Amino acid sequence: MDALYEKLAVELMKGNEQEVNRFTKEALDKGAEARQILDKGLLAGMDVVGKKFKAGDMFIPEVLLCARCMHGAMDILQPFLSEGDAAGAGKVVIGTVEGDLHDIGKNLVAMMMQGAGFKVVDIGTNISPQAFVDAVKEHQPQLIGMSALLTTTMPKMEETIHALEEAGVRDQVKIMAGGAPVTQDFVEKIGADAYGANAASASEKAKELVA
Amino acid sequence: MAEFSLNVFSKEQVNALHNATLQVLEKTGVKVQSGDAADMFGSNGCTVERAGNDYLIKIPADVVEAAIRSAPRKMMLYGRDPAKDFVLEPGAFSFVNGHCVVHVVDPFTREYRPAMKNDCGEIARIGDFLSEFKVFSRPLFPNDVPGESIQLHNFEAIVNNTAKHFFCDAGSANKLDKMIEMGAAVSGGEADLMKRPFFSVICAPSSPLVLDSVCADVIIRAASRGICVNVITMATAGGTSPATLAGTLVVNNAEILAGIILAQLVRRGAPCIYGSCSTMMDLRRGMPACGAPEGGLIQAGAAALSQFYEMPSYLGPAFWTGSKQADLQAAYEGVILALTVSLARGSICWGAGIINNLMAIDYAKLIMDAEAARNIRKVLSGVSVDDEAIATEVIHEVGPGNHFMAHGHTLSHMRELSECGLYDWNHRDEWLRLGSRDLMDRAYEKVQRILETHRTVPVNADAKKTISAILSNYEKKKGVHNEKHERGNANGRVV
Repeated sequence: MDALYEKLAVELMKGNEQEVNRFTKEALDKGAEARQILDKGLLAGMDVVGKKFKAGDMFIPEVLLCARCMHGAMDILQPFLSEGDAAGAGKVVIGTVEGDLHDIGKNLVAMMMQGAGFKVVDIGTNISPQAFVDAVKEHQPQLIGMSALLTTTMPKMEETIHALEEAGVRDQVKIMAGGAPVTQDFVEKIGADAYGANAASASEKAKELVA
Repeated sequence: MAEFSLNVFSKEQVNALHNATLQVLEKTGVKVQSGDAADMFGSNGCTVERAGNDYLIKIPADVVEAAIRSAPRKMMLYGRDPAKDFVLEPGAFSFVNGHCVVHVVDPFTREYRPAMKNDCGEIARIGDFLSEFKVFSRPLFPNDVPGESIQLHNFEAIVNNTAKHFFCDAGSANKLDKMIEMGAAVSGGEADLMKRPFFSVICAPSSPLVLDSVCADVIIRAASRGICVNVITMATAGGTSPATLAGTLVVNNAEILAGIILAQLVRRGAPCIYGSCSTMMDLRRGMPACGAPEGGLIQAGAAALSQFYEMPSYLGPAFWTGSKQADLQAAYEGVILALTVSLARGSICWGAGIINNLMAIDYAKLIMDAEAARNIRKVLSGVSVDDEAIATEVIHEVGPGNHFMAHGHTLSHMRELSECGLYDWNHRDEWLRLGSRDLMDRAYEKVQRILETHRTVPVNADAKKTISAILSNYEKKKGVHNEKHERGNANGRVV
């Protein structure tokens, strides 16, 4: 079975959707556990993809293609996964803070996180502190990701953290922040848990935070 | 008028891009996040479909063509000082400073630090001084003022420090009204301001194909009140537009035209500028690659389209770079872009001073870019070919084996030749004697000298007070007023 997992990982890294689906079904047919297929095949492949991307050996569109293969295979596995397993690496609520309509960076991070096995709830742009609080209550994520492109909206990140504190849900979640003007120093200053300098490092940090 | 230019496209290619744009506007449409804008499009022959809270607007070709016809080909960009007026007409040319940054490199400490309101004023003063910039643009988003009133703070800092026409973003239609109030205080009343509006407003569509509510509402307000609208878009090839540059130009063009169409529907003949700063996405890193040569090619294409529409243009990545400092990379990337865009004849080419992917302005680079701009302008002036310039008589008089330095012809034309300016053309011994200083050192020295000595035509004291009062009233109403901001920025340098 390990050979099959390996083939699955290799085809995933190539972004070969048909083969990924075929090997996923084959593994199920041979009696492999869905969770094992996910961990040893798909996520193992995505792990390599993430590393290669970080090293500058892959283009984002290639990574996105791999992530799409991963989702296709997840659809096949879904009925065989327990509820806990289906949540994958964890659940993330992600959004661009209030006053900011920029979302390319945030979307990239969301896609990278999905590729890393997270269930991502993208709540969009121009998200008020209260809306973040509401999303935490509704979706019960382990992680929150906040994005800003404008320095003028960066203070909203701190306000959002305060709102989470006031609502008594701050301790339920780890908070990540990123965006072009955001720095490690800023993230520490506002009391968030991690800073993602780019989409690859954000998804890596996310994995560390929930590990 | 510049005489040397290059075309990136044939007429057929421009037509192909235009036709593709018409197809996108009519078939794909543009998303508009403003009810007023949707009404305006809807009551003028466009199809409006509700899409959640937004509207999908499909614009038929005749509406597009009518707007292209009614947008003016010539407009005055008035200075606060009439001596600084700039006529924006076919063939007009200027460079202008970079904008939208959030950091600066300090002109005294050379430290990379957050941009402050004071920097906005200081950079405006430098822009006022530098003759290569006929206009000025809101350079930065200060970190020391409330986000809600940032545009009004910028307006105040700029109007007090340059007498040239300036471009600024409004942030909302309401704030544009406040700016007009501020401008009226300077001009001696709204009627006088509108006779010679000394500022224009920048509106930025969101790629791909979205006019967000701020962008759309500001366009409507500006067009109805008589303020020039500069619709600047930044489609990013491979990210927010196709990876192929022609496809990016189509998305880019559709967004700019959508903004200009909206302005023309509000008021036929409303002054509009075809603005763009599109470049490519670095698809290994997921960030715009602001120093990539593709930006130059895209803007050369945008210049060709704006000329086809007979609209003045305001085009991006002149002097842009991904380099984190004003170094050799910055110079190589920036000058290739500036030369490409200017040879393609953008009317106003913006970006001087930029480093770090549009995140920062380095004061010294602003000066060095202005030096390069002077040399580029020389290149654009081309070579005049008439009897006086060909000078066969002079060649005959001097004859073989002699020199031209003592001839009257040389005496009368020598001042047309370039001078070194900040660049070093000395003998090496002389350069050593002068301390072996590099361009950067000389640029810092110059920027410090400008800051210490240059003062613009002042705004009168009453108008200054009125502007400041409008600003604090606005902040009080919004509940963001903070005495600290006033004190921190009234005078002196922020360290």
